[in-house]
Amino acid sequence: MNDADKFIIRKAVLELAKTGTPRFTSIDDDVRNLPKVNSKTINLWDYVTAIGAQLSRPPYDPYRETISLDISIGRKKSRKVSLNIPLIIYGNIAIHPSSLEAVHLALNRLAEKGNVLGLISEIDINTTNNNNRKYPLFKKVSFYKNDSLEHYQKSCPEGLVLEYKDQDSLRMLQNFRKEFDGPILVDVSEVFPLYIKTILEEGADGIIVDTDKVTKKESYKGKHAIAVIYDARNAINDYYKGREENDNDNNAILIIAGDVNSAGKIVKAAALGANVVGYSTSMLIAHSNMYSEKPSDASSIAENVYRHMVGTKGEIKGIPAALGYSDFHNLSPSDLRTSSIDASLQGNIPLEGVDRTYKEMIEEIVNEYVREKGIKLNSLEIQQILRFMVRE
Amino acid sequence: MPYSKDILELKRHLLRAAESSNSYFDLTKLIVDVRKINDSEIPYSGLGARSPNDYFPSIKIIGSKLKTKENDDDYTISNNIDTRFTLGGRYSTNIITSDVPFFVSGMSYGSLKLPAKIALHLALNRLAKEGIKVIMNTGEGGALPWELYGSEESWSDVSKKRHENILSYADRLLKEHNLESIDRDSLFCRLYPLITQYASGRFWKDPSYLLNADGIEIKIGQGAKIGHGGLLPGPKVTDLVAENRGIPSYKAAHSPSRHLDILGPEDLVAKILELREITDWRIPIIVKVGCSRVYDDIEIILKSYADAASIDGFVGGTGAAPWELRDIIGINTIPSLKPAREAIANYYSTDKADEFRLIVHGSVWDSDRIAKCIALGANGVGIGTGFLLSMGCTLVQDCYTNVCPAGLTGSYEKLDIQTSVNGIVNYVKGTLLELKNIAGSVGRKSIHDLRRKDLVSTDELTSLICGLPLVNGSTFTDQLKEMVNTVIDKREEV
Repeated sequence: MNDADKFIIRKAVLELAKTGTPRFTSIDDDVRNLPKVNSKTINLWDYVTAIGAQLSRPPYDPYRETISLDISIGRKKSRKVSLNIPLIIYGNIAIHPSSLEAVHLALNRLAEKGNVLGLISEIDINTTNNNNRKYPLFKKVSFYKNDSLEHYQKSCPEGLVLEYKDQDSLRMLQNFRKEFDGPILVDVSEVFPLYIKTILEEGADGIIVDTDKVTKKESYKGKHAIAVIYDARNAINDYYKGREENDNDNNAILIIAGDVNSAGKIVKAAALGANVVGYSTSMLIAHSNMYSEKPSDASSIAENVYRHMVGTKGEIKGIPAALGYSDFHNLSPSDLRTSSIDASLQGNIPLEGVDRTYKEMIEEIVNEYVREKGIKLNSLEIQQILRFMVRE
Repeated sequence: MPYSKDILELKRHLLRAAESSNSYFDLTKLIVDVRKINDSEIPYSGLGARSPNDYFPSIKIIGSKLKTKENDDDYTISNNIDTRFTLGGRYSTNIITSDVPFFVSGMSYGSLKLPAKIALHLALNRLAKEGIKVIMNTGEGGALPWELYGSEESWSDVSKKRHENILSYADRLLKEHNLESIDRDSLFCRLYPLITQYASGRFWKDPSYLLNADGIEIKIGQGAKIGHGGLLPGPKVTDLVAENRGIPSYKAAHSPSRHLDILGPEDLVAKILELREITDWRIPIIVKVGCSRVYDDIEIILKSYADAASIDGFVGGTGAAPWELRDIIGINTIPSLKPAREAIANYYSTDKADEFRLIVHGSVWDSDRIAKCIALGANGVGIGTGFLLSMGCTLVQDCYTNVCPAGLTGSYEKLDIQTSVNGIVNYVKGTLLELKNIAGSVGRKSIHDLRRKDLVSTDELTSLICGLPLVNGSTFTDQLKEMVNTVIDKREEV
């Protein structure tokens, strides 16, 4: 409930409670008809909800039953890396090495308690305890600085992250793939939605897409993160279509980073097709210490990151359970509904109440009318009508 | 919640870090992150979720025209308009009658503090004396002694010792809240119909909870936390609340997310038959679900010997719910009405559909919204937040704590019972008058005669989802067909 909503409810009830006589106007109309919010500021995430489990599908109980969040990264030929929470700390925040050390300490502590999640880092962790790392590290490769695998293997990472920019990146992927047996994840944000098939053919174990970066590109202007996740999942599914190697346990994974920084968004992203979320909030928490008048030491900041992650884990276990799943990774697009035409079009999400996407409804109405009237439209004309109606 | 200095400082630092980073962060929810940093717990919130589109403002009620007037009576004279709501009779022998089509949604003792519960009790009694009976739902935390033993006959089978225990508990309740001056005779008098809630926590230990009620609501879920059991945070489980619920004090009461003996449609039938046997088939039984797979859930309820179904939309309120879970699960009330009505229409091949009642909750707090729900197919409407507001709620949404600026869900000493009673009475009377005005203006003798044809929508999504015409009279489907014709015409021109 935001302030505008509270204003509407209060105005609606308080006058009645005070006077006991009918009101003169409906405040709903006055407030709701204010100039529409600029579409750029509308966050489509808010218009997407999930459908919970009730009578027709009983919910699980996260306080009394086990809800699995486990996932392993790595295709058939690669060494697998397992996570107990489907999150990898990753973000575009340029943080101080001491903040990174705090994240490292927090991840170690989480791993000690059986909560293993990953870290993607370009810089080496400045700590004497690096040898005692208990969580998987994905070393980000900076092609322009050094392209030798040996250089990146100094910190003994479990996996590598390669930023795909051009054909040289492809060559590097091919070279690394020959020598590195751990998972190689490729960040395709700069070239998205191109080259995903090629990258997967060259043996990448996962695709990373940063929704913030993609939605700033000209080709995704006006689109939301949900459109990016939908397109990314489709691109990976297209690669696997008809392939013998299609096996959920060994397929390449989709990692979505960017505008996915709350438990609700993590669940929505997972339902739309993300396997793992590149989570930047932990880095932000570590980084926020820099703004304190009395900065704390790495250990205290690590405690903050740790506590935040424990709370987040509780949240992301509770939501799939309430949707009727004992495994987080069983979430699917069919669990989502939307109250926005835009969200339905961008993420192919069914509208609430009718359980069909906006596009499906339009197609249904047009096809039925054409059939009923015996009108013969060619496929081009039908496409023309549909495109017009779905605002493409 | 009055956050500590440490929490606010953490929030300030996080905000500065978020603003300085190039990434997008949902700044409105930074407090959720800060609270997790503070105690590593799942953050809770109170009242309902925020829906950016709850459809109500996009629906308009169209006034009466000459042709819709059924005869020469002037229905705008409020006394001529029927607003009664009945519940039961499908399988129960008793029928509950209310003089208004809205009632008090389940808000339990524990979630609400005692003075607020007493204010509701006294206000509904006063309204009943004035000829306006309003139904009250107890919520899942058990009923208070005067709610269950509010009539002479309710004491008839009670042993002397039990009688003493009940009065002693009532005395302790009143004493703890400094309300000993309340007259016991007027307190132990209930003139309004009471529905007790049968939830997965089974927080009651006295069979009178079922036997002395006028109706039973089996709560499968609620709109604010669909798929999650009821929740009362530890600090709110005081000794007397714990005694009423039969649970340990000061430990969070997490109800199971599902009834352990209701895992499917057959179990629901068995449970309802069990309750029917216990209550000798007298009492109407309602099954309440949160809005999600509405068609499927209503279909199951229809086949289960229930008298009514209750659906609770996304914005439905709560005393405490995990913040993120509340904001992500469920669908809005308005889009739920169509599948609910379709399930009822498909079940009944004859006109008997009227014997099954559909009650809706969530984002309904005034006459305009009640009328729209009824026109779209609801028989009755449950209101929670509206009643809280009429008692002085300031919508701070800290209902999960023991601190409430209005004294409703915490800080009980702040609540002035008499002012709250007046607020509730005025709210009910004012809403009732408005409902009569609406029905009269549309030319209907009864509020339940409002129909879908009395509504128009102002946007295409609402038209598509509710099947309502747009303000220009055509439906969105009509507009699509027109578009097809235009394409054909253009082809012919070429």
